[in-house]
Amino acid sequence: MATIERESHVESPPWPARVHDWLTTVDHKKLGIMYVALAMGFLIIGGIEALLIRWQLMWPESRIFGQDTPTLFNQLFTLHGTTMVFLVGMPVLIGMANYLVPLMIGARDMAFPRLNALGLWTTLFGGLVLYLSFLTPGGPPAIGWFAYAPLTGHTFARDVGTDLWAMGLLVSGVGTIGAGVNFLATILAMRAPGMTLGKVPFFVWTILWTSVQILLAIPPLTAALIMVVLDRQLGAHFFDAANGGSPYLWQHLFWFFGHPEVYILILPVFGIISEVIPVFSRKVLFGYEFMAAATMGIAFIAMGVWAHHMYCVGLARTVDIYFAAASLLVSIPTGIKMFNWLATMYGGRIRFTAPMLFAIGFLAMFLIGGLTGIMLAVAPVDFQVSDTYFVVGHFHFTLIGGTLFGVFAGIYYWYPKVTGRMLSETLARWQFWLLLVGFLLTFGPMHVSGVLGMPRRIYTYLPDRGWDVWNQISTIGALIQAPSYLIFVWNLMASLRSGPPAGDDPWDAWTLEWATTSPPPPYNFEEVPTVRSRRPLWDFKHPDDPDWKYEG
Amino acid sequence: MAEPSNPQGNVELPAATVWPLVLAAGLALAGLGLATSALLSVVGLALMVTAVVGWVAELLPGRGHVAVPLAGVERRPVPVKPLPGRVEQLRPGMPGHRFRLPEKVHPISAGIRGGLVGGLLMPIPALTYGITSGHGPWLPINLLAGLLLPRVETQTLAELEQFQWTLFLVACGIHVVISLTIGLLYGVLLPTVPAFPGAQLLAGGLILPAMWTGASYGLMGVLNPALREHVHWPWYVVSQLVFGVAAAIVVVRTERVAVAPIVGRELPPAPREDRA
Ligand SMILES: [Cu+2]
Repeated sequence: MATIERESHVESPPWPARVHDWLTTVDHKKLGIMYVALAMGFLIIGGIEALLIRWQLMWPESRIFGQDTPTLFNQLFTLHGTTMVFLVGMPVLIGMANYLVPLMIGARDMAFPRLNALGLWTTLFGGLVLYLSFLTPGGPPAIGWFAYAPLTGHTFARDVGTDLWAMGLLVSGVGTIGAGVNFLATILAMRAPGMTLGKVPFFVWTILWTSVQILLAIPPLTAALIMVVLDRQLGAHFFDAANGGSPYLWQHLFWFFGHPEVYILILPVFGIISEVIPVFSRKVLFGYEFMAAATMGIAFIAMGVWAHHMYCVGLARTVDIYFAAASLLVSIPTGIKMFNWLATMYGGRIRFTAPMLFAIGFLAMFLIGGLTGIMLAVAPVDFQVSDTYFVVGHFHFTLIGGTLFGVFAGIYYWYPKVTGRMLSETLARWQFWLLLVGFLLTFGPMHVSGVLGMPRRIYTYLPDRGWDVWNQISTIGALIQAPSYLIFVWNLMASLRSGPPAGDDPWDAWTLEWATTSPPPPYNFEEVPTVRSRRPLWDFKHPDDPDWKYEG
Repeated sequence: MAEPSNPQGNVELPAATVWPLVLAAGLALAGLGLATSALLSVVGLALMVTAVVGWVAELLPGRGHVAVPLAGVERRPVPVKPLPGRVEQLRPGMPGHRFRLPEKVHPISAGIRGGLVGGLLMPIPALTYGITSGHGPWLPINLLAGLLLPRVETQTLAELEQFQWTLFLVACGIHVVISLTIGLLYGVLLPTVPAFPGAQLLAGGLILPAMWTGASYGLMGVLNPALREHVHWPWYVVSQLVFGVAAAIVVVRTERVAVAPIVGRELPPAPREDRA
């Protein structure tokens, strides 16, 4: 607790030295912070893009940018999707894992600290390459985030924006693959003495399987992006039907990456929720072994369901049936997790502080996203609502209601460890309720406009379709959401200076990261304690009744 | 595995390095060049080569690591304070143990009686409608049977006004089952509504009937639109309200009984609840 007070007396070096320090660091903690900061920056950019999209759709036949509206609208939703998936979702989760995994397993750093730095910088530069397209004559790409062929062909995308899109994702993909390798090596080889794989904190377990998915899913995307570049730059015909190529090849390759990607974006969040809910319910995680098996199950099943994004392509009936059945299968391990979280909370002494608030928000909102996902997995339903706003509503419930709520829960939980300061609870509540209400208003009505037949990605619509009111509610919801993100960023920055000191262990938690100072020293732990159970700190706090007596 | 600190109080950590940043910049430039101008790619490749050389050089023994001194004693983590004693198990009846809510409930028989009374009173508005509208008493009954029997929707209005044995029996069956089910639901639900005067009557007499009336209106539009045309909705609403009010009054007026305590279940010895 006294740490903070003393820190302010330490001479801080001049700013060029500090910048140099951050640019050259290989410390997993600093890299983690920069990853999260990068993601927050792009979250604001992607959010502004979303607001412009919503503003354009508020009224039928509107043209907020005049003549250029159709093109600009296409560019906006392309950038919005690409940014949120590649430059917000993955970096924020990789960043949090970067910061936390070594601390949680009692290591001094990641297995490959320099590779770790490379990952951060490729992510940043990949993002910059993508956004450089704003400076090119044709502007940003207008191909949608999944960039279906032949839209990416030279015939339809003559400008350099599409090349920059492919190169940006290629470059940042290098960093993502590096991060996956790094996590695997760190988790498999650098755990504290006594911490068997069955005793790692649950967040670490989910990162292990996320890394497996990264290694299986990102390389196919990289390969496919290289094929796009070859098609465009060297006149290859991989995706060019007129010359013997196949646009479906792109769809298969993209979704072979794209579906596991959604689990790359949600498995770590399952981990965060599995850390927050026990600590704030004052109980151990219910059914750790089943949760662990469910995580593995999801990681494996998720590799074999990609063509549920392609029902409308006209695959063979048998193929449709297989992919529908496989996709429905995912709901079983996911359901196990849902019930185990509820069982963890049941009968617990629940503390409704910010991390728990967002965790509960996650449970409710992700449930809705999961249920509409089950609907969409059923091929005949998908025939009806594919490429409508129903799908848009569905995946925003999983990505905002799921990933983002979980990330907020995690940031409220670990910010005290990272900075030594507590975040403001009042601001957290404002953020939570604005976000929840705005989010429901934005994405709930999309299910209705989708069922009413509104296709996604249209830049406007006629007034006689009955879609106006649903779009207006959505836009109003977006306007309600917008301040919640600003409140969050403000909370992060203001609490850095004025938040109450956190101390080493503000939540009375049980995993190793809370045993060191807040913020931790560069070497994390002076001496790494021997671990005997899944809750090492519980064992130290309750020597007469430690967990290892009960764990098998 | 993190090695313990050496005797000098230093920890060996990898040194800061600029090469990953340079390598990433080179890669991005090379990519950018592919799409724009080859010159950029050349610069990017040069940067990449430089970076890899610099990076590898730092992997030579004796380079690339620094000894970080341990933080001063006053900046070490606060030692974890052990709490003596075993963890107390949370048991029913202890302060802080969650009550099973509600503590007292209406007996199951109250729900059944409520359903029966409501079910007996409900036909009154329905028959009143039949008679006053000139359609006769059998129309509402036949329409009810139409919930189950699809052939009803093909009948003409004149046919629907006639007494028909099968329809009558089916309608009676539907009526009894639904009345009893909803009565039972009332028995379970009404004790859980907030405790302010009249709340239970409001919930049972107005809110719940309004909800299922709305639901059945919507559902019927999907399942059996022809039938919906025949129903006179204002009177329909009235009869639902009569049922709701009657069932609610009966349920609310019965004596509540305490929920049976959980007996004979010992908690397992593992410390699954933190009472520390
Ligand atoms: Cu999918």
